[in-house]
Amino acid sequence: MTSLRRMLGACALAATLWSNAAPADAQSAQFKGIAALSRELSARIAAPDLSVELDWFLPAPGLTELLGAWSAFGSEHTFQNGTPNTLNMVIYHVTLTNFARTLGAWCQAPPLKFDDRFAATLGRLCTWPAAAAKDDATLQAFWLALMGFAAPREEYEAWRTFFLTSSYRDRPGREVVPAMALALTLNPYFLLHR
Amino acid sequence: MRSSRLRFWGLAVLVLGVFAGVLLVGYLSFGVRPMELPGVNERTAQASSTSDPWENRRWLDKAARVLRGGEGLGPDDDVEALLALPREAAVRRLMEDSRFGDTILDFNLFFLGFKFNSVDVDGAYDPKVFDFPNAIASARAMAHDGDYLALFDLEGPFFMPPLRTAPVDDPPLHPEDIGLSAEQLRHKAVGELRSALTRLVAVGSKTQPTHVYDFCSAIMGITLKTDKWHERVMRAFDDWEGLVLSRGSAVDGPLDALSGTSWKECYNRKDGTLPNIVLLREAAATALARFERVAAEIASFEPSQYQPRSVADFRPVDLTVFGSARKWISFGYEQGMALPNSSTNANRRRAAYILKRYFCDDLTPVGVEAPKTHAKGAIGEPGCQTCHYKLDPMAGFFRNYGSNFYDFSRDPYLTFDDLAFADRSRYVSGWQSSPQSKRPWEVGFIRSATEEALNSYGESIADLSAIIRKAPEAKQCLMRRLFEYTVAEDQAIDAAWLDGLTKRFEAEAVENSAQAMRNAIVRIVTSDAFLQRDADPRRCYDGIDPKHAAEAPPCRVAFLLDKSCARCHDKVEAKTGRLDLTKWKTTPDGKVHGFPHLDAQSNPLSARESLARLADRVTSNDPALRMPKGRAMSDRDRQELYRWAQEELTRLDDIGRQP
Ligand code: HEC
Ligand code: HEC
Repeated sequence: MTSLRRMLGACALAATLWSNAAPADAQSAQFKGIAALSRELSARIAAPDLSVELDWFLPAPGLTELLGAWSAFGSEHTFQNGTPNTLNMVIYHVTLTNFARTLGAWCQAPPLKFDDRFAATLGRLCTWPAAAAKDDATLQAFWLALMGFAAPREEYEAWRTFFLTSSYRDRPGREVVPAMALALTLNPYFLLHR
Repeated sequence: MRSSRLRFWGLAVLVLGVFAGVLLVGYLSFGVRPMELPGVNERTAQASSTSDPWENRRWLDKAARVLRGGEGLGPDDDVEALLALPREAAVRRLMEDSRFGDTILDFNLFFLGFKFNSVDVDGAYDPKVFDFPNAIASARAMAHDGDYLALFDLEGPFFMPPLRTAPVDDPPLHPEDIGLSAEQLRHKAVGELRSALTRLVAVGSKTQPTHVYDFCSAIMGITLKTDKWHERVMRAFDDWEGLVLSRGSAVDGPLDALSGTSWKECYNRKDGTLPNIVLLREAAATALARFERVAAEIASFEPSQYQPRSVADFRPVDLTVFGSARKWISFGYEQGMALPNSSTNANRRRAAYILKRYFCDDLTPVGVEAPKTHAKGAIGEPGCQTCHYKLDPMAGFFRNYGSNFYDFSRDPYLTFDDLAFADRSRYVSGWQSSPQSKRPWEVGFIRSATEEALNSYGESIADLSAIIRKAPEAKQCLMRRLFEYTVAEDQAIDAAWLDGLTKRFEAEAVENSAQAMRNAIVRIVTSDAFLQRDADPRRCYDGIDPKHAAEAPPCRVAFLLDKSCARCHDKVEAKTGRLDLTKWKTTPDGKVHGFPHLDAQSNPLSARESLARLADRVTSNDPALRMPKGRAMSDRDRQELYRWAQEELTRLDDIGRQP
């Protein structure tokens, strides 16, 4: 918790710096929110009749409201906290890191049950740096399972190139898989509405 | 592009978490610039009509997400088959999915201003959803080509969720209830009153006519404790369920009727004869039977018997068990909390809600032509009338509804949500018309303060529902919200395109409103705005005539200006204020855009001054200044123009502040 607080402090400072520089017409895209993301992910990677809920990975319970959510009760409902700011980005970062680590842990002992096809893809990716893991079909299947088709192809290509050419090239699967999943899920095309 | 993206990835992954987060915020504000796709105008295009297969799948995935309650393409979808279909057919195929019912329900809740994150929690429908019976009736109607516009009915059937499974109070309020499950407690609480009434009937049949007063006192033993019985029964139900039972008078209905008869028979006799025991026996039996019917109806919503899996499974409550076939008002527990009424508020909050949600009129103050108003006191001032000329007559539809939308029309008093109460006839007289008027009440949907013929007057909630159903404004509001829900809430929309969408919906809805709704969804999901990636919120992607585009005013208001202003302001000339509202050009200083507009000395006005004058003229109360001169313009159009001018002014300020 201390480290979280320290991070928030750093962010608040950074936020001031950034917002001063932001142009007046910066695009105001909104978060989809945890509920919508979970639903989307579930449709793509959950085992039949099960779901994948990103709430499970929150650093503390009750934070979903801060991540873009329809306000709960007692007055007309509006979408709250949908605009990215440093506070909600930190929470997203921690949450998605936990989620990504879970995928990495899956390489050693599957903690979650997934859709068979996604499980097969993940299994192959866990063999990184083996050739089967670096195969374009495997990488694309992994990307599409998490991202869907929301991002343009160049985003995928940049992501793939990065992992094929950076120092991740030779690291073991259990390290590479979380890094890949985190990079992918932090992408604005994954997180935002438009 | 590529190298900067690579750098982003590297940073996002490698840099310490916090910095990645901050960088991402930066990336969000700077990195994602509007990126145009090749426009897809051919509506009959195959789902796979652009060359990049990822782009086609992107559209399909997005369409699936919107139409199936948030679930995009998954492993079970035959994507190739869907892509082989023309886009329209693909949309229609997706709408056949059972999850489409949830989408419509979710949209209906959005329309009503009460959208939830999800209509279900942990695999079952969120009980709070059942607070909105018109949203449900309408969503159910979609499944069988029924009446989608049931959404516009403010009273109708009522759907109840399965009764709760978790205990209402933990620990229970009464020690003797400890250890009972929610269902067992309901059984017990309902059973207590049932047994009491059963015993009473038995007493009645055993009592000799000569001892009828014994029976009288047995009856009073129950009816004088109606409030206690109400509470005893309610202890087993939560606030939502309790509202249903209270509104349906589940306990006091049968007991009050019994009390009425016994009062008349036993204690109000002037002729000295004995009370009629046959009548009293009948009254007791009727009370028991009525309560039995309510209890049986409620019990049929026990989760062991009722577990709706889709909107189509939602079951309406048989309202006849509540002793009258009255329709159920479609404002539930949550709207009761969100839209409370007090004696001074006089339903104005409820009126503002109706105007905003059903007519997309959010009461942006845009002035009003000197109203022929009967309003007295401070509220009669033009500044106040700007909103109150339409707000107060709308509030009048709710004049008999007090706290929690309870209908007091049969009671002498009316209770408010702040627990105050008022003499009902005195309170409602606030809406009475003047003696000269043809109407009994100043109640209605008011379009114009000066021309009564444009307004829709009525008296009851049923009248208001009928007015909403007929009003073109409500259908346009529905189409606007559908666009906001499907594309984005802040995406600019060309008013002419919206008009076209509305006209087609109106025409088709005459035949079949469910079909009309599906067609509207097809039109929006295949629109250019929906297709865009990283859409620019200020741009209209549909409906703008390209040859008209070069120096035309911004799309959001072009149609409004054309419709209401262009006839007089089509060139810069002295007699119409040297203002041309048909063009939007770079200002002489080259920095921003504005209308060609000169001052009396023929010097160009600054963009700021020009817009400020426009905003003033559109909202002025003075008929000599108010634009469009001597002509009508709807409040919604006026609000849209005014809001746009305000946003432009803010933008000019921001640009001015930039170094
Ligand atoms: C911009 C539109 C607008 C204008 C202008 C306006 N009102 Fe209102 N007024 C409302 C709305 C909306 C409500 C209901 C507020 C609520 O309860 O949510 C309301 C409520 C009220 C109430 C009831 C307050 C209560 O709850 O007890 C009074 C009294 C009132 N207005 C008087 C005035 C007077 C006097 C003026 C002029 C000085 C005025 N209003 C100007 C929109 C307006
Ligand atoms: C029936 C003709 C007519 C229509 C329609 C009309 N105007 Fe005007 N407008 C005039 C005339 C005449 C003047 C000049 C006299 C005056 O200042 O009132 C004027 C003046 C103005 C001015 C003041 C210009 C200045 O610099 O003083 C503005 C701003 C304006 N109009 C905006 C609008 C807008 C916005 C609309 C549409 C919503 C509109 N007008 C519709 C006739 C019209």
